[in-house]
Amino acid sequence: MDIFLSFFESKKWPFIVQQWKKDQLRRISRVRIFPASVFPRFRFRYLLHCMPVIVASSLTKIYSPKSRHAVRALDDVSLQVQRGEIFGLLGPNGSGKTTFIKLLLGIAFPTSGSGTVLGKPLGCTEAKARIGYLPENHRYPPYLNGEQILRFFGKLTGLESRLLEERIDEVLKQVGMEQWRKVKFRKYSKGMMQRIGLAQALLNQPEVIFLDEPTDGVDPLGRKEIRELIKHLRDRGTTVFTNSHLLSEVEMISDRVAILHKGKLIREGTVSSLTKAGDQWEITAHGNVDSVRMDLQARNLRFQLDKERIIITVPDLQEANHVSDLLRSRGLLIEGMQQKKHSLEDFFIKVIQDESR
Amino acid sequence: MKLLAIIENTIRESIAKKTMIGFFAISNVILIIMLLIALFSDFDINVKLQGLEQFSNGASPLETLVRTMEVMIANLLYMAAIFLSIFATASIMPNTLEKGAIDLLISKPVSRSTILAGKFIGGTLIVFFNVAYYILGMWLIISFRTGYWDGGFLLTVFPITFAFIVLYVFLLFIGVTTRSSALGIILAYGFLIILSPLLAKREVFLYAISSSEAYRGIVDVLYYILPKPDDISSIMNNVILHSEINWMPVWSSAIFAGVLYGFTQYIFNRKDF
Ligand SMILES: Nc1ncnc2c1ncn2[C@@H]1O[C@H](COP(=O)(O)OP(=O)(O)OP(=O)(O)O)[C@@H](O)[C@H]1O
Ligand SMILES: [Mg+2]
Repeated sequence: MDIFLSFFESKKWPFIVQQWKKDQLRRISRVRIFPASVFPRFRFRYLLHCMPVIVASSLTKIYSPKSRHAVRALDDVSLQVQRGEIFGLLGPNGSGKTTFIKLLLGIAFPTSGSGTVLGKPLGCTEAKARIGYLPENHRYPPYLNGEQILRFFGKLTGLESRLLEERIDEVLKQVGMEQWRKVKFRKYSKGMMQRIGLAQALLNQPEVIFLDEPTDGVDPLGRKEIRELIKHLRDRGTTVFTNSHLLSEVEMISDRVAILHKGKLIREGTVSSLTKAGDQWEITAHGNVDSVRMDLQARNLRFQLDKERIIITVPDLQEANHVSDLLRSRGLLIEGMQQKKHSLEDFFIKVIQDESR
Repeated sequence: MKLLAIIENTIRESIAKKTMIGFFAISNVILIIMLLIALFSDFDINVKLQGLEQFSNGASPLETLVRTMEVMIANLLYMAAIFLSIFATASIMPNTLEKGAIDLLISKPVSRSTILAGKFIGGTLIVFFNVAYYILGMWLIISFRTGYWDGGFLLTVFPITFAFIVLYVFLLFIGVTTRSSALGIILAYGFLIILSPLLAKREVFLYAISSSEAYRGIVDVLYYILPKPDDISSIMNNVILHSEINWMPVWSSAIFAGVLYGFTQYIFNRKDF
């Protein structure tokens, strides 16, 4: 019986994938972007690649809508994430980040609006086999050891047992938990729990992975490792959707970010477009600072003094060059000149403060 | 297979939580006490048999004696087993629904109905095996001591497990709606000790309160709708005595359990976590 079932499960996949491809082709040929005769295979792959992995259209979630304590956790959020992107969802506590992921995974149901993940409706069991998820405050059976936890969740993902054992070894190595595999979960430190959680999310080699605060409780070295891991996943074509408060971290890895505030999506874009501060430049120099003070004031430029060092903010590149000529002519040494950026944190704080006003 | 994985995990959890061990230990203590009594009591079967001859109209006195003993033991056991099993399984659903655990479970490609079914089957198996072990041990002791081997007693594992299943569905329902194991235990015990016996013997107790037709009608309806653990214990006695069984309590309790399970599933499928 068991043998028959595992046989059935292993044979089921190719069929589903085929069916899915057929559906796609049917849909594509209806769209008719290319004439049907031109390289059907190429056309299929191309479109598959362009299809957003996550689509949310006007997702709204109100918890306990009929009671007095109704909470509008998400308000008309529309969002798309493309294949192979690292997408960071930011927002203050209680802004609806976790709720958004829960709606995408069918853990909670939207009050209105809709969406797809991997082209399937929200909560579709079949799509979940291709998804990885690290929940916040995740709890695992404390009486199981690392390996048993992975085995349990691996079975639930439908991995066939030999492949599962291979994958368990691989993911334990990936998250650096090999030496802890036989230790009971209740003896784990917070960071170890997080790593096992991550391992569990990677088991089925997901096409898209949702990480809710992935570096929560992990030490700086571990965080770096997790960042590397996330980048590695992206390079292999995995789409990564992550929630975090650690803005510097998000800034380091994300291709695109969105900011939620009180359930509303208030900003969205690439990290560089959001943090760019117009065309401003910043020049750092040192030497006899007093000799240029008057000139800078005459040009109406902002500058900061720090003992022998001066940092000048200049509105554009041309002016920056003029100023640096001036500084040099007065005998100051230029240390650097760079386009000015806000950190993501500055940007975030400013945006949230503006919104709250 | 996914369902099997969930069932296995449910059983593992109850072993790890020690409730299962406690259950098992209590069974063993009772079995050992029985064994000691069987070995060392002065109980002389032949003396008892002589006294019994006049009562056992037609049937062999030994048979009557053993079956009567078994009925007494089974009735003690029935309540004890159901109390223990409710206690041992009430936390299964609330634990499953804990924040951080249920999110993860639902994020895997398993349907919510598989999750509920796994918890239902897992809890039932835990109780079934425990009760079966207990009954088998008891049966061996009685049969060895008396030299009379009769299978009726062994069959009592089914009515006991059945009565448990009906109450377990109720525990699952309370678990899904309130995530509370304490509430489930209190309500199940209250039902078991107070409501079910009152309803089963409503002619004696409840009818006495008022002679109003409407009131008696309501009492009757309640009796027929709700599960009937009290009547099922009588069925258990009939099983031991090899006498006629009234199936009404069985199928009406089964309908109650089925409908409540369906309703629980309905709520579970729509619940946000
Ligand atoms: N199950 C629930 N029932 C009722 N309200 C809820 C539930 N889950 C979340 N909320 C409410 O929805 C809002 C958004 O919560 P959510 O967990 O999505 O925030 P978050 O952005 O993830 O916050 P954090 O950064 O603290 O993790 C909060 O006001 C919260 O109180
Ligand atoms: Mg959150």
